[in-house]
Amino acid sequence: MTERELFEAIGHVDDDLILAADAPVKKRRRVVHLHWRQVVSVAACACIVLGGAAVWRSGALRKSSIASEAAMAADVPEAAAETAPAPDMPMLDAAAPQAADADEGAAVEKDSAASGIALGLAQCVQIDGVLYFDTGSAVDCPPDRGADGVIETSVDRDAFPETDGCSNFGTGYSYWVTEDGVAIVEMDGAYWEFMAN
Amino acid sequence: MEDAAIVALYWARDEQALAETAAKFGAYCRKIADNILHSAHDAEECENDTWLAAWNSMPTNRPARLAPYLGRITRNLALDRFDRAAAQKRGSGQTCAPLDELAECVAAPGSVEDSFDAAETGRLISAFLRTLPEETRSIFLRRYWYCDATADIAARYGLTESKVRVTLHRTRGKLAAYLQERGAAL
Repeated sequence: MTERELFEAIGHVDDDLILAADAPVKKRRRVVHLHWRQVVSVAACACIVLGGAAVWRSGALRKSSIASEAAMAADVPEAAAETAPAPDMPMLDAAAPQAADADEGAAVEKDSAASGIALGLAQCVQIDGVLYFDTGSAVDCPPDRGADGVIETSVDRDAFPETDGCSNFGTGYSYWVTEDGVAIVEMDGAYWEFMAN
Repeated sequence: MEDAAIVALYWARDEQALAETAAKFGAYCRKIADNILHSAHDAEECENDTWLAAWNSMPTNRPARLAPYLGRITRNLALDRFDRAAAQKRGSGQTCAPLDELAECVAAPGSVEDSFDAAETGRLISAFLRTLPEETRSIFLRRYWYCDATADIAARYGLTESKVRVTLHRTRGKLAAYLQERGAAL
């Protein structure tokens, strides 16, 4: 049989099948499948940002309360000053380490918050020199052949892989490279579509 | 007008049948022809040839549904026209992509082949298609019966083009295996 004959034979399929294929289609909405790793990543970033903001605010509040205490101490009447030590540099210096610690903590937390904001890189894998990015779309099954390879190395989640067979979301996942810049990656029993950058 | 009424006009040799057919199925047949020929002019000529073929085939034939009947005629006429244009090298380098894809399902050149029966093979293909999920079946027919572009199929079903191509690839493989198991000459 030639391809032309097969094409002609397809023309002879039953009428009800042909009509069904021409029936109006209720278009599905493309559902973006939220992979649990994506959800956890986003939640982790949110926690870091919120936690950093909370720590930074508490540090700022402590600094302002120290400053207001110092101001109040400066307003104490002289009589009281005879019994209580006047607010002077030593007291302020005594408070300074705490203020300095608060500053350092805020700086550290700000850095964490900044790096947290920087997170959000899509899952990607490098195969044969090409980076494939997760589209979030699942496919029913992979190509009908053995896997083309297995992801063997992984970099940090917020980094790009730089070697073949390397991802930023873990190792041990099988992959198939199909035509037109598409790779299929098996993760947890499901098959996810990745597209070449 | 209902299909049965139009067929009755053909059987009565009433030329109103042609007007009714063109009104109801003109765009449908033109689309099929254009999918193969990629030329509005050639598609229109193919449409007219379809009406002539329908007039010559009814009576004798009394199809229950005209859409697949006429579509089948258009499909074959369009492919014949495509072959002639390709032979005269007037095809602007166009290939019939669905046909090229089906080449994966057939035997390598030079192998021994039995005689080919289109109708019988069509019945086998129908049985195969009924084993598939409805959407997969429809995607296959939109590509290889209606000759839609993969982009149009993807838009029709709300899928990505790559998913359509993967689906077609796997279905072609299953079809080839199915036909070989049942002794169809491939």
